[in-house]
Amino acid sequence: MTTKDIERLSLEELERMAEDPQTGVPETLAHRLEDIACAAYIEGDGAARLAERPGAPGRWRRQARWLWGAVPAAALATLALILLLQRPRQPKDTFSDPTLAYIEMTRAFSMFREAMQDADKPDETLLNNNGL
Amino acid sequence: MTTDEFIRSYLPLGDKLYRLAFHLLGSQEEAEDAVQDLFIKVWGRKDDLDRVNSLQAWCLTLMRNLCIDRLRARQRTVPLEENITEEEVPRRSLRIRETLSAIRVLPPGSRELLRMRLIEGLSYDEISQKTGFSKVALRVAFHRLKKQLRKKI
Repeated sequence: MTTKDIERLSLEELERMAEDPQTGVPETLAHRLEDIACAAYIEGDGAARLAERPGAPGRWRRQARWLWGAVPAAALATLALILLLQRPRQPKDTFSDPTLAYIEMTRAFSMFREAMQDADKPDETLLNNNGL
Repeated sequence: MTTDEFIRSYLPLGDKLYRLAFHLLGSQEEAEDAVQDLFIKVWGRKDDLDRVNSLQAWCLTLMRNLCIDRLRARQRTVPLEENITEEEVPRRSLRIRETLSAIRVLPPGSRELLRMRLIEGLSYDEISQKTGFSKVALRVAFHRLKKQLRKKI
């Protein structure tokens, strides 16, 4: 068959040749096709499969990996917030509202007063120990 | 078209394409080479493959043209590679050809591992169960395989 004859072959004739049961397909072709598939995977979007470290986590675990960092971070943030809210309030020294300033000042003076009264009280234990 | 789609749709046509090539070229080795060349060319046009209506008809026609080229090159006794300019062969085709060459020189065991991992998509546990190799041995084998392929490609 010349190249001119081959050029003139119709699609039906090509299909007939392609499906000819008398033409055996060698086993080596299957290996070649497998090699082509491997090369396609390496070149294409399957390259990650080979690049993956053996024993490395699967895709869903990789995708959920951020959770391992996010959960402790969220727990730490919550703890910090709780500690911040529970922190004893320090008396403020500046106020934009005069009423609040008055209340705070009254509270501060009452604290001083209580402290002074406590300081004035004699130490009972000390008095007892010395027979007074 | 994704790699999976390419492999699922095109590679099963390999037997038919081989038979046609064998009819036209009359040589087993040349027919196998023609099939490989055809898939390399098809891969080169991967981005356009979604527009192909009848895969089989398109591939058979491509194979006919490829065989004509081979027969003409045979008559002129000019190596086929010299007839193909870089413009005609997309870079992607050249790359897959290089990768394929690198794979074909691997020892059979390594190729088998590569096939199980890439084509069958088996996990290392599954490969270990199938082959009897320990996971440590597989880890070493794949490390070497990656190194080997990286060096050659």
